[in-house]
Amino acid sequence: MSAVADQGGLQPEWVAPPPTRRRRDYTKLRVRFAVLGFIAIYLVIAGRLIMLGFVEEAPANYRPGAEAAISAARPDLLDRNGEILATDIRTASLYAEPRRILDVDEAAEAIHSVLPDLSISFLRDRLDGDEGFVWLQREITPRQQDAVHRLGIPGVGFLTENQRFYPGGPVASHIVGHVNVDNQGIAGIEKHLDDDWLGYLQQFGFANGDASSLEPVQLSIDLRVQHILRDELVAAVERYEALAAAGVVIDIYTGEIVAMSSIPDYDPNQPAQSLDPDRLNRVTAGVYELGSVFKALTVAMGLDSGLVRMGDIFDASRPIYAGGFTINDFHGKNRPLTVPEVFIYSSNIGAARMAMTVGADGQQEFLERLGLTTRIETELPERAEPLVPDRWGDLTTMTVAFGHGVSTTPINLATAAAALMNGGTLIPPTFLPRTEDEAADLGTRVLSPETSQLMRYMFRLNAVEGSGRRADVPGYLVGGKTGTAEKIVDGRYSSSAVFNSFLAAFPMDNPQYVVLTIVDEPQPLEGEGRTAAYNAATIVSNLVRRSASLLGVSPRFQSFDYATLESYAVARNVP
Amino acid sequence: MISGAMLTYEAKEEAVTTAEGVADLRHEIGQERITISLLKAEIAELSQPGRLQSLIERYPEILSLGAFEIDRMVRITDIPFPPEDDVDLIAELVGGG
Repeated sequence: MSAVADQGGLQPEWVAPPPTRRRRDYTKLRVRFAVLGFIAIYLVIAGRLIMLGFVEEAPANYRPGAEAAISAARPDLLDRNGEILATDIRTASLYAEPRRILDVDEAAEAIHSVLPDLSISFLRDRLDGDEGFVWLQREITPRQQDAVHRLGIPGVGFLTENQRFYPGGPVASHIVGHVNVDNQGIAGIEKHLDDDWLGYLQQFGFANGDASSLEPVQLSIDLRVQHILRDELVAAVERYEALAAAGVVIDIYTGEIVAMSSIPDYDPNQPAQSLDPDRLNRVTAGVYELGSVFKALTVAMGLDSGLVRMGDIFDASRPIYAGGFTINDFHGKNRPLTVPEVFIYSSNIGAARMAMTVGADGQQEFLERLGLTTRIETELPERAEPLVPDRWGDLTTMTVAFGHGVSTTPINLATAAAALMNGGTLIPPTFLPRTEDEAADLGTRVLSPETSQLMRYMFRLNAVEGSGRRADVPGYLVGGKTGTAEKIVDGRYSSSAVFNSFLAAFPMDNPQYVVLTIVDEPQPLEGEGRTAAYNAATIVSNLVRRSASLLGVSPRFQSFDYATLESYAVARNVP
Repeated sequence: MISGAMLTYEAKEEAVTTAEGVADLRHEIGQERITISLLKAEIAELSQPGRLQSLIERYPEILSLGAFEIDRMVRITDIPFPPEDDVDLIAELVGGG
């Protein structure tokens, strides 16, 4: 303004008046206002910069996310001797970046020429468009990878991803489980690992890419014994034209499961097969009325309660009529029986009378104590809950005494049997290695050592004189109890459809392992019966013969065997 | 000054070359690891008890292997009349405990 005033001498009336005090204040105010404005703007910019500083870096394209998802690494699974049960191998997967593809038709035809499984219309559909990342084919072979690479199509590339491989195929399928296409465990030990710790590692990015950074996980399984068990079960299903067969071998002092198999099984390299409900793991996820093998528990219950002694007599000369049912014996002796006789002749009447001596409450308490009515927690996610009747009357007490009326899983029974044999300690079973000391800390005493000693005697007696003779293997002192349960067909028990089991332990002078086998609906061989003695016991015999030395049990032929009851009773001063 | 620049250049060149070498070796190690794990998986597959058993059953005349009989198995200590204090010698002779 003042400049105008200096030049404008010609127009004196336009000379600006000297700035008044009020006007100066106004200018100051404007300057301040401008300063404040700039400060505000810079504050906003600085604030925004700080905010941006905290924002996570956005992915430059879609690949990094996909790379993290696919390369989830898993540790190797080993058996107790270090043999590989499951391992990661690297395979290539083919992807495309459609927005970088120049000629969709040409690319589609070229890829189709190498991977004829992918139709041209599918490829065109996939490659057309503006996406940053699409999968074309997961897990292609090295040869296919080479061929696609040679095509040299821009916008098409490979990612190596970890693929789970089970060298043994189906041999331990129900134990190791399997993974989905993103290498996440969805069954068996694989799922257990994910739930336990591997899932977290992968989530936070510590277990991606290279599997060699992960410690291998060792299991309690012995691959050799596992193979033998499965081999015998497969042979048995074929030989007896059975619907299914299953078995488990447990170390009775550590609770380690050394082998477990259920036929039909599946190949974890093709996990889709596992969806078939017939291929479930019958050992941990199936509940059954296991029949006469329960008499081992009934006898143990009687002896442990102190209400029954070895020399007691139970009258099995007449059937029991109760609640409209008749309880009869299959191989009836029709005479009074001692406790060991009830066991080796598998007398339903005797077992029922013995259970009545103890009573319904005592029986319920005993089965609960041995963990037969609750679900067993192992590492496997596949597990079933035993079925127990709501009302536990006298009739229930009598039928449960010989294994009808309560449905439980084979692993429940095998765990309880380990307690019967090992001196009376119930040890939760596991698929991971465990020492005897660790097991002793976990175990709870459920029976007196004396009861366990008497049960060993009766198991062996049954294999020498009773229904378990076919299970015996010279040198290994096998002992066991057969169970032939009639299945319910159209609402009634059927004599032609049976569910067989054999509960065994060896060597009986100093038991180390419990073996339980089950066979579902076996057909009799020429000249044989369909009871458990002919099939389930034979499987045990073959299994022990082939695997005992691998389990560190050496055969003995010379001296030892249990004497007969009389001399045993005298020698041990059993009343 | 020029020689200083040359020294620096040379040192830098060397560092770059070495770094490249390290990267190459790392890559190679990674590849070898993958190969090793593949080979391990292959050994595991080839030595599966089930596979060996089926091979033995299929080629009995070539392999002439079979299940051993239990009564042929004894421990060294069970051998009658061992030479005194010489159990180790027998163990050596039969190749193991």
